[in-house]
Amino acid sequence: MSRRGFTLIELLVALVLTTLVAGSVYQLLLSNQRIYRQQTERVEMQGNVRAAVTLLPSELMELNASDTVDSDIVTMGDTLISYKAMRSLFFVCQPPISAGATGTVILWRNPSYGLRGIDGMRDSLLLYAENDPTTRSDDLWVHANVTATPTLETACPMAAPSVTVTLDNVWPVGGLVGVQEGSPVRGFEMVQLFTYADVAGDYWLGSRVFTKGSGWGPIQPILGPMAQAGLQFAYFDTTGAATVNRNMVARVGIQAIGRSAQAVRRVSGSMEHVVDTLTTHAALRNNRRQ
Amino acid sequence: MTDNRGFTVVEVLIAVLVLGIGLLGLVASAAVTTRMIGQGQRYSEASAVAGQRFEMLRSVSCPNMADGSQQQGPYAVSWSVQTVAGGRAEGVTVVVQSPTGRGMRADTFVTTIPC
Repeated sequence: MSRRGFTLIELLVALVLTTLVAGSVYQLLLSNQRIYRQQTERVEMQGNVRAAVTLLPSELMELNASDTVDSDIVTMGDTLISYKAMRSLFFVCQPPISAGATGTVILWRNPSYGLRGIDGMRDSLLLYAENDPTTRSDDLWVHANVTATPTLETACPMAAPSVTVTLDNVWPVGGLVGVQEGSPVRGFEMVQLFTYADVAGDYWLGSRVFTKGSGWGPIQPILGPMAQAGLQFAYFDTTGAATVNRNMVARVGIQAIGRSAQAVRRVSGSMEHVVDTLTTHAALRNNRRQ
Repeated sequence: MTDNRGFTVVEVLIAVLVLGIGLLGLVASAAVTTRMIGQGQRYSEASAVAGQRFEMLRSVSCPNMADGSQQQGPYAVSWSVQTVAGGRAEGVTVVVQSPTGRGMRADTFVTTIPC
């Protein structure tokens, strides 16, 4: 019987072939892993950028930059915006008692709409002044600072639940005279949106809220990481031209540049962050036009 | 004696042919999938471009809204404005032309902007 087995040559050839195949399989696995990591980072980064261009317009489109009294946009910069963020809506149940720049207003406690009640430490009010009911050319939103924590009473008609708010810094002075029963009242706080660098040098989109007496509060991270200067604002008026006048803004352009948290290996072999840019525009919905 | 004849050449050829037809179908479906992914990407980018245009028109007062066109990167955007009956709103149609491997493709987006 013939039981010769392999010769040495056959064995060597088989070994070389096996090595070649194993090597190419290893290369395939390596490139698979590289692409997988890159795609994971890319998906995360694109989710971030997408969140930025969804979140920011929904915040900014509520603003009103058309009133002559004051604009809801407080500071407009290329990489930072401070604005009056509406937080609550009430209605007047008794015409305010006013003495020029100060006053007291009583609001229906129910129904009230919004995220929360009026916070004396953070909030100010916009009160709708109807003035002469036969014309709308004198209608305006009166600005007023809330001086203390509002008191909960039952001072509305029929002893209904009420919120009594004391005001100062009324602007325009004496404007509360035109506020009538049933007028809407909006509570707002001042919010700033911007990018900042953390201790590791990564950039994030953050916001902070203004507190009376102690200034801007701690930074609240919203999303990230972003590229350096990864948030750019542009401001346009009703003709579509760029504007620097915060009473003329009709549209805010927002550009968000995301950067992956980890550097990934590119085909060239270099380690780079994945970067992508999304641009969006937000037309200000509360602008009132003549 | 065991029967050790194996397959004939004809049998093998038929088997290869059948296998080949099956593989061709698989390859074709992969191509269709790739094309559909490309279409989806193009459509979502075109809708983002159209959304920007809607916001731009929304920030313009109604009497100043006008038809127009603009090249935005690879996208050719054209828009037309038509006053809705009664004049209380403007109907806006935005057409985004985007380049594909098979020439330009047009996507149409329609919205109404109140005055």
